[in-house]
Amino acid sequence: MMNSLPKRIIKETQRLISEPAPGISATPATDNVRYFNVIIAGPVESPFEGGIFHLELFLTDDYPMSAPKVRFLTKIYHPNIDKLGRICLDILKEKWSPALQIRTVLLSIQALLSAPNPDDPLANDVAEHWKTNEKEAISKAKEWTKLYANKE
Amino acid sequence: MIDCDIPFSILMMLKNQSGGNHQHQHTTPQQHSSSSTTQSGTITTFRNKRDSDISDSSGDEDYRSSSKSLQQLFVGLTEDFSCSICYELFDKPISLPCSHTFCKTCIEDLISNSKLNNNSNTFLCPLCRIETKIPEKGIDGFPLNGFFMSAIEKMKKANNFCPRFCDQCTTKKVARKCEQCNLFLCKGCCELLHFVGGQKAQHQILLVDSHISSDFDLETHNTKDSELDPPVYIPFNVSRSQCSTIFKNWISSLWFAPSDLKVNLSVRYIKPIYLPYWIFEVQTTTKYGALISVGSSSGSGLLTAPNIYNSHTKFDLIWNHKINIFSDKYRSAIISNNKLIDKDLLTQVQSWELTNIPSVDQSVPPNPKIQALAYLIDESTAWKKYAEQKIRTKDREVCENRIKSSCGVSGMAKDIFVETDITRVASQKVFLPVYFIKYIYDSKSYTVIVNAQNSKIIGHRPYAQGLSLFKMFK
Ligand SMILES: [Zn+2]
Ligand SMILES: [Zn+2]
Ligand SMILES: [Zn+2]
Ligand SMILES: [Zn+2]
Repeated sequence: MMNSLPKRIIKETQRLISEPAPGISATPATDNVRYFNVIIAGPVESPFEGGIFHLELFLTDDYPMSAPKVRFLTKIYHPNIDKLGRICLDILKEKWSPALQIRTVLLSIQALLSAPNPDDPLANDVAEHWKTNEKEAISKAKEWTKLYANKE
Repeated sequence: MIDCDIPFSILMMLKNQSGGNHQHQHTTPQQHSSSSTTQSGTITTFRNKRDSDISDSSGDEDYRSSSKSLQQLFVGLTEDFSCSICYELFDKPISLPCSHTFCKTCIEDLISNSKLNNNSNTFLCPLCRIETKIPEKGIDGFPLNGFFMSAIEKMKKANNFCPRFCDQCTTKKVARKCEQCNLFLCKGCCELLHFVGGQKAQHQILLVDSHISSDFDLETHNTKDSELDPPVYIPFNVSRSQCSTIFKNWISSLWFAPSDLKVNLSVRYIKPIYLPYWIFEVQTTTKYGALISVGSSSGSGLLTAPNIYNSHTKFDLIWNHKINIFSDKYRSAIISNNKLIDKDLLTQVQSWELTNIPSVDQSVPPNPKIQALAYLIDESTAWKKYAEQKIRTKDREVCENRIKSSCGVSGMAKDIFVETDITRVASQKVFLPVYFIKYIYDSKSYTVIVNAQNSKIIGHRPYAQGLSLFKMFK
């Protein structure tokens, strides 16, 4: 039972809102401050440019000892993100450190959109597609961006 | 698992920071409630500031902005001395072999967490990821960082002199702390935040007196009183700038060197305040008397030292039994809110004569921008506990003096009696205009009060004479 919200979460939230990182917005839910509605704008010159991607982020009770749980809610064609929106990112798993924070996590996800890494895949078929025919994979990613990440 | 009340207030705070409906929040509760008078009063005080020289809070403004940049400095410093795991100031800081520092408890948490995960006797430094061995003695094997500990102690001390501002509105001084929300708030914002959807949130609220924080939020004048006579406000004769000069002259008439003053003394605020008094106008009829001798007419009076040769000289002392009845008028002023006045200054303030009190019908309306402190002592208490005794003592003194003077230069009096009969008492609420000044010298804070009716000044001064003299000659 947490009867007081750790100062760390308050501070992180305050900073996320007062000095948002470019292309990223994170707002705590009205009924649960540990749950954040996240929006990441697709980075320029990536197949996701122009897309608005919704994610959810949850801070478990042992945060910051364990990483936040993050998931894409918007469908995305990316070798490191699977059908369920789960993200393959080292800092969300074994490379997590309590010195990292929500902001760094979201910036890393943004960077992952700019630089997909098919050698460390989560969605095997997408990664395969990316490796065998990168051009085609990228145009499919663009197509999905238009289809699913279009504003709403 | 998570208290539903928490998110709400945080959100309120966040909304405000992102330019939300702050104004709206300030106005809503005033329509509800009985306690809104004080609140709206405080708000006006902060709104229109520059009407007259007296209520002009430019000093406050300077003070506020300078203490804000001071606060920012502290925020920066605090971050330098904060643990990158819990974001709090280091608590028992320990340094890992890689020289990165964390709270002892945070590393303990980390170790128990990584043990759960991989059952090893090493863990990674959260900052540089260097593999770190858990010492044989366990967590106690890591040395405490004594330098950080003493630096933090000093910083906390210094920070006490940096007034905190409300986390919510960032303009008013902190008066409350909510344990659940983990916020420092001013009185108004605290009420607003915890009044959710017509219901009061059940949070544990602590009164915080952070340095000078709540000084003037303590008790403002409650306008609900329905006394027969309206209070009388004595007008301000001394402007803020005059007050500032009076203070400067007073402080520089002290022993310390002018250069020392410039460097080490900083004025935190000069604040005009109406200080509440009960004034009792009392009519007494006193019967007094004594056995009086007017002394010898021969001139070798009783007052000359009797020497051995004339000690047996017989004087014809004629004792007259004199009784008199006299009617007198007294005025007694009782401060009825002394929360802001230090005990040792109180007697001095109490001794201030309240003169030039306008009568009720001549009374000028008070300056609405100046706070009037509330009456904390009611009329009958003020009379019974303080005024009556003072007046009886005073009357006795006056009568004793009359008796003595009727003895002549060499006369004597004995069997003195004084019976004071209080025949009429009239009371009146009077607000005396004063300035409260707070200044810091050598990281201690001092209070000064200036009577804005007659320019009298009293206050605390630094008494560390040796130290300052030493500074002077250095
Ligand atoms: Zn810590
Ligand atoms: Zn390290
Ligand atoms: Zn406030
Ligand atoms: Zn609260």
